[in-house]
Amino acid sequence: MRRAILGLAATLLVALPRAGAAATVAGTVTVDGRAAEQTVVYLEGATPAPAASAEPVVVDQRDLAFVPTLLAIVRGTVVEFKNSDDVRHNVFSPSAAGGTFDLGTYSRGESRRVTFDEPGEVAVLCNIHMEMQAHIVVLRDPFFATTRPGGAYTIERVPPGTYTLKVWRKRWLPLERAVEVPAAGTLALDVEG
Amino acid sequence: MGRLAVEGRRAATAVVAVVLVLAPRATHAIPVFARVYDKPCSACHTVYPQLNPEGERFRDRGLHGFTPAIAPIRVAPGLDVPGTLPLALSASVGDEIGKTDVPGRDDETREQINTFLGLLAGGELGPHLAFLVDYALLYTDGRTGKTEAGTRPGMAMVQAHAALGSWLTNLRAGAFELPLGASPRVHRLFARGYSIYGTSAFSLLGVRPPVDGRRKDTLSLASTQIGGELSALDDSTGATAALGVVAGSNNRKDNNSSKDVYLRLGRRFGFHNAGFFAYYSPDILGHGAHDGAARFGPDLTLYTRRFRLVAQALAGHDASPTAHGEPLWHWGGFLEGNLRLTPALIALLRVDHVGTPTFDDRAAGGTTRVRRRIWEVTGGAQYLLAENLKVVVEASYGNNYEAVARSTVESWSVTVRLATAFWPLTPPDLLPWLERWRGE
Repeated sequence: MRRAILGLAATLLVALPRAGAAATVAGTVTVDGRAAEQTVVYLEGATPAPAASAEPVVVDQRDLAFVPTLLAIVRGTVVEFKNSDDVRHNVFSPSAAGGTFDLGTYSRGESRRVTFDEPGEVAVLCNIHMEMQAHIVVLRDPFFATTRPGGAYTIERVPPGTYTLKVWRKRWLPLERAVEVPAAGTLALDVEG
Repeated sequence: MGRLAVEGRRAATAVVAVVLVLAPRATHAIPVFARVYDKPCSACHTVYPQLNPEGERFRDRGLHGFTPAIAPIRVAPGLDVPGTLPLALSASVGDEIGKTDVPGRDDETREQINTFLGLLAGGELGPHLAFLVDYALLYTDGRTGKTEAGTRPGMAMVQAHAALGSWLTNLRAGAFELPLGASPRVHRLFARGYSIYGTSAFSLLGVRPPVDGRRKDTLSLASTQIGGELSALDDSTGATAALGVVAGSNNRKDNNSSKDVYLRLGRRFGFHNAGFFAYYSPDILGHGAHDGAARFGPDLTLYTRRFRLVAQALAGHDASPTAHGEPLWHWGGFLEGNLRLTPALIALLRVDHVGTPTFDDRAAGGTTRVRRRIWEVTGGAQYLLAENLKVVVEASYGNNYEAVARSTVESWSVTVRLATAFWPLTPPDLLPWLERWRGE
């Protein structure tokens, strides 16, 4: 029993980040040989996650669309749903992590806030305009990136340690891979789906 | 059908077909409000012409509420005109195949090409005034199959609007449709009209009106009416009310001296609403024959992002439809579901029913004895090829049972249609032109 506890403690010590040490994880995501945009790449590890930013992240509603249509955040983040359109919108989610929500109908210049505490995928919709859809991916840890045009992603300031790299993409089965992040430099990791 | 009529119909079909091919390609190829406010159709419509809650809100605000992308031209204090030609065209072309099975006769099968070309106009006339016109230039008559030119506007009204505290009030005058549970014509999604709105005592009894003899001149809630209406919506509670006075001869020349009144009281619950409609005509016949008529009943609309359920029930009473003093009660309604499978694809299903108890005026000197039950089921789908171009496919089955003669007439129909609303010309911006003309 004592050996087991010592072994676990040793593992945790190895896994804990060394102060100041951090690396970059970067690569490209491709699906069927084509660059995958609108994809979230993230790392989950044993590292305790820092607190979410106190500043709300804005999801705008402009020209009958959510901007952005894909948002990755760490749990505890406040998202502000702003309406910049001349028409009213009714933001709601039937599948929010930690519970559904309905922000009611509001006009241009107004905004409503939601705090996302539970990791998971959140579909965001407008009850008036069916074509409006967005996805929020609520993550446990703050190491994530959304792919750029061309499918490239860059996750910066990742403490060294053992992580599970995961990929979220709409209508795509979750993809996982164990990775060892070094103390410095860039770990190149391309993902093919 | 004569050679001239056939050629006329072909020509009309060709015109509409050319218009449909040319219609959806330009970004300006969208109707008048979308162009003036620079918004896609889906800002205010689910699948046009059906309104979404924001479109209904725009209507409640007297066709106001958005900032025009094309600045209006001020012509007098409080009076503007749109800064562009406030016009659009609506067009459809399609095929309708129908089969009617009458006992003792050979099945009647018909196929006709349906064409429609209409003119839409509308816009703000300052902060408190607006206008709306819907005029059929060409259309196929459903009974004769002939393509005809419109002689009366389907809708032509001027509307005044004011916000009084939490009340949004509107006063409209001209030709407009009645505030029923579902739009009987202008914003109706189905190609097929609602039986309960279009029915009359004469069609149920299978008789002609005892005076004048023209059934189409009788009261039909489905038709636009000429008159005036005062309506209000309390924004804080959702309470709604509309009170109107109309000529009672639909959109035709008045054929009697009486005027009709109607009232609709309702309540909004978020995007859902419920209401009660009542219509009274002291006399729908005129010319010395007296037939007072009333229609009344509740309606309910439940709305979600994907699904809309509309229910309407109406009872009708005609005091003397055969001019023998024998009254007729009739009732019916419909239940309609619209399911949006995707933003571009909507599935529709509706059940209509109209019925009467036994009507017998023989003791009063008449010859009519009828008891009727009509059921109709209509289903279909509409697919948006572009935001202002859609394919309509609709099938309907009707069962018309007359219990006294034990006679059943069954009918089937299939409609396939391509429909659009657009403006083919790049709209001139009138303001710079006006400034140049003034030499400014």
